[in-house]
Amino acid sequence: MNLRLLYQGQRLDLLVRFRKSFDALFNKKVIKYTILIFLCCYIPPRFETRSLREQSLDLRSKFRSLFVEPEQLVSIALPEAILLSQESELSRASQEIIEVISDDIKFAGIAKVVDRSLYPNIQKNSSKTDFSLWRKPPLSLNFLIQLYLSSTSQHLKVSMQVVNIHSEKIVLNKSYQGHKEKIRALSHLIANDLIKAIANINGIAHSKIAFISPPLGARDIFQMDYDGKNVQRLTYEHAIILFPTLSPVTKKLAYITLTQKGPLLQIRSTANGLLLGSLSFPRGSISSPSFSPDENFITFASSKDSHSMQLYTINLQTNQINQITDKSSAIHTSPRWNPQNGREIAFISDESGTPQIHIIDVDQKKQRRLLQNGGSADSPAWSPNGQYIAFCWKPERSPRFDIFVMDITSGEIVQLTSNAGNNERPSWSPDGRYLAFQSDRTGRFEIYTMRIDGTNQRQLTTQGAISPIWFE
Amino acid sequence: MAHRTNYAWIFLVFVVAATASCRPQVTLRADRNKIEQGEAATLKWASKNAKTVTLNGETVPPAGTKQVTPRQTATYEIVAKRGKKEARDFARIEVTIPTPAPTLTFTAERDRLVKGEKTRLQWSSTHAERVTIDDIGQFPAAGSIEVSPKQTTTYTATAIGPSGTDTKSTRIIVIEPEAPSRFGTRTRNIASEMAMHVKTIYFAFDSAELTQESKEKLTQAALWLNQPENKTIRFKIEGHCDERGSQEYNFALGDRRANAVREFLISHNVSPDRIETQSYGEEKPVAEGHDEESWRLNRRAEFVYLEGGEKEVPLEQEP
Repeated sequence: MNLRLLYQGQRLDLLVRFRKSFDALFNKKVIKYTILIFLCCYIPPRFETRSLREQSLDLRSKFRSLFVEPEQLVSIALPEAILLSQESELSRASQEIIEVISDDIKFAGIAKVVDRSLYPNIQKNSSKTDFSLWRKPPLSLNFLIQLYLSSTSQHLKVSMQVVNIHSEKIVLNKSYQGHKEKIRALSHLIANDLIKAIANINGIAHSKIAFISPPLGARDIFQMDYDGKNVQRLTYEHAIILFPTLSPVTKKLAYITLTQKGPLLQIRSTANGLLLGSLSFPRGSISSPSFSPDENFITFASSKDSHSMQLYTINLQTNQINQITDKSSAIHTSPRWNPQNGREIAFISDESGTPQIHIIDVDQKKQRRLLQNGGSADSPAWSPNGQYIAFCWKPERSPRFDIFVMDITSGEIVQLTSNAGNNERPSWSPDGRYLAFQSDRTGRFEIYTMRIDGTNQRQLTTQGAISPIWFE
Repeated sequence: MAHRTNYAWIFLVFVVAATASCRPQVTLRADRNKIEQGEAATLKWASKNAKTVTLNGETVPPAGTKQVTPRQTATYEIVAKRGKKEARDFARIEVTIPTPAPTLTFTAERDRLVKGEKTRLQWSSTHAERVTIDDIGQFPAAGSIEVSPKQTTTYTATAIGPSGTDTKSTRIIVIEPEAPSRFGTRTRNIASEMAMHVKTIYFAFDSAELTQESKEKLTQAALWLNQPENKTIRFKIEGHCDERGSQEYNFALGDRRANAVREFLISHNVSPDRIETQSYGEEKPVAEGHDEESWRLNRRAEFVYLEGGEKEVPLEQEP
């Protein structure tokens, strides 16, 4: 009998039938004892014996439900902006704004922008919009978004009106002003408001992704908009930089630089690059900084006291260092502070023979192993709500690392990437609906983003990049 | 009528006489009285009552301008003549000759030295006030200095004058002395000797365990490191990994490999003060390939000589 079929409704049905035949047969002695012996051998199916594929189906559909099915997307029209003054630069700005907003909405996966070939012909100078024109088939619009543009010498003024086509009610009417050089940033802000107005979701169009480039040799940390545009340099080290991280609130940058004298942990301001602090030890390595949610502590891995790395925390006010793990027989690294409770740290330990994800309570020093399935895991990343951990994992006999997400409470795991090179170092979007990660599917590591159900994977960098950090 | 005619004649004669008796006048000006060689100045002159006007002997119009570019300080003379009467004026243009840019010659007496020998750097210059030599100091415009570079060195000198600088370099190649530099002793190249005796250690996949072969290699290495002439050698153990693990775990694994080697050497009486360790994770592969053989070569602990050790040892007796 295939015990794995014994589930939910099926399981009840079977039990009832089983009981009937059982009663009938139990009176016969031989059969009675045979059945008793068999029952003793019967091991009830435990949760862990469910195959990974079955588990991931539940979690995957849960993640999929965070996004609207393509056929249920809201339809919006985003016609050319109405220019309140006639300048050629305004029509260029209008094109750029509409392009950026359309991309942001597409990325958010909440609405589809109806192709402009279906838009009705509207007299440019008619003062009042005739909504009935926008209700004619084949248009089946939900919202009409009308932008109005004007400009001063340096600034661009944009007003946005979001109208519900059916009720003819104005859902949102808001004005924006921004520097002419920063049209993309302004457009991302507008897109966020639009997404909030029509889908009640906090947009992430304003978010940024920090990364290291190039992937090998002397390199530096850069940041880009979440869509890969507007790249800016953050550090000027030109050295081997490893394991960058950002503090959750004030966005301080912490990273490891390999110097002649050994690895050095540096903390710098993202805004002006100013060095705020540094840490290294006369003996022993230092690796993998991660800020506590209140930014009072950093956890890191170091071999300063033993011959394999252990976890420590440092109090950034008092500089007091506490050791968290002390099993010198095993490697401990990749600590990541739980963003919600500030009490737990997820980390990697090879105590069981291969690197696996564990969670430790900082105060009580109690630890538990999260992943039971062997292989090598690394780069644990807590979701912003602390409910999930994304990580990269090379299951036994697999030649590659792929990105997985685990529901910490249920232990369910879902695989997000497959058959596309190595996929490592996941980083959650601020709204917890997307992941950035590095993949060498093109032959060189580049930064990609995807939805947490594994769909919509898109490549952001083309010059080689690693270690993405998604931040607001 | 006769009266009127007479008056007219008298008037005419008077005018002619008055005109004829006027002395000619002339002025000559230069717009700039001081120029640098090669620059131009404009002469401007005007005359009155002159029949002929000559500028430095050359006939010119009664008034005019002329551009001149004298090579050296010159005086221009203008002469206005009317019959025997004449007037003169002068304009002097002073020409300053600019100092040329300095030139420098900079040589070494010998450009090949055996380590420990000395040579002289020599220099001379024109139109220079002083000469600086990088990393050495400042000197007069001509001179020499004795140097004894420890390794092949390029010296760079700069002559500095009022109107510019000139830079020249000279390279002195320093060669290592022949092995028996002194009677009965031998000078060692410690780094290459160390590379012969303390060899790279290789590891199994995802392991920092020392194999039996590695332990034998390291036992030999410890013996060599503890020889009297090597007792002061300080060195670094670099831990490396192949590309297959994740970057962060590999950094910790490389660290552990370096420490495993360190622990073994310490247990074989090599002093911990002499040993530094550093992990490079998967950052510095020796083999670039993506195959088993490349991975095997990249999972390693390498030794790097830092400092110390006896540079000269007694010559070994030939057996």
